[in-house]
Amino acid sequence: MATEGDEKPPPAEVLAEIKAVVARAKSGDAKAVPRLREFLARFPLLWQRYGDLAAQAEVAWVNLAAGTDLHLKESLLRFAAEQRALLTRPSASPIEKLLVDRAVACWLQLQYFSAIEAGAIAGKDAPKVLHFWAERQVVAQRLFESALASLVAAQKLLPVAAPTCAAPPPEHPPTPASGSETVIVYEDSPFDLHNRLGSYFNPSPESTPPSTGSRRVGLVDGGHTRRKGVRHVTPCPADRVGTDARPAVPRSAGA
Amino acid sequence: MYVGTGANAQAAAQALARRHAEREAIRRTLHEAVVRLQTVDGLTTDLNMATAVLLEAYLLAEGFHRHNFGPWRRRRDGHGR
Repeated sequence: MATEGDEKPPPAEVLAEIKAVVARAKSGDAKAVPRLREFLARFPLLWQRYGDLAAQAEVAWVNLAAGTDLHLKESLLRFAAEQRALLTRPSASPIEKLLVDRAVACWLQLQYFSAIEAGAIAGKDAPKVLHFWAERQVVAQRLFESALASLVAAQKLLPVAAPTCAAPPPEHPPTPASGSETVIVYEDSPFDLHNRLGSYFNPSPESTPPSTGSRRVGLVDGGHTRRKGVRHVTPCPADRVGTDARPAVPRSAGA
Repeated sequence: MYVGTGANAQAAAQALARRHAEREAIRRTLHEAVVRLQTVDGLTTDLNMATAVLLEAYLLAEGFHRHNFGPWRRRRDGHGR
């Protein structure tokens, strides 16, 4: 018995025996199982295709939609393959591939029921029949939306495997020029995160507003941005440093 | 069903038979559709259920959670890792 499987499909003479063994196994004959296991180990294509629920569902919907029209069948299969390629990210995880297969199968189901419903309307079928197909179309639509929602959620939450050539790490924000009066203090700023306040805390040198004498001090800690406060520093004459900068108002002025 | 005698009764009986035949044809059409879709419906249902369970298990194992079927969120406190 060959333990390593052949990627080639079984030859015609073996195929007849496989069919007979499979038929026996399907009818519940336990004596056929050892021979069936031999065949499955020798020809992995058998279980890879038959065990793939998504592929089975896809082929079943294509067969149902196309019927005897082989041109439509081939076109649908190619379109499904293209959709699968478009939806799958490079180096996607197996669970993501499964979700893509599910979305494609649900898309085929939806297209089938849409076409059937349109045909029933055009053929002026009975209202009861129209209602049946419309209900099935609604259910298919809901399933497709659910499949897409799962796929999008998984793609959003689960990272793909890192590429072989890693991108350079994001640089820290440029520190403002030493002569500028706006001083921003950062600690471990999460610039790789999408932060709508990022431009506020990371002004580019050219977009830095002219000096207004305000002094901003920010602290970024683990993704939570906290402003320590904004202190307005009014330039004082050198002779008044260390003294009360408020202009002296005579007490008798308000009286 | 007895509808009486005479021309009017004959017409009523024919209309009744026609309606019965139409209803029977619709019933047969729907039954054929259900039988035709049975296998593929079963496959799609199995696929949907298996995928949903797998995704949920995978996300839980990755440290995500969701409250009352809401959106999946990553636990910030490290629980579930």
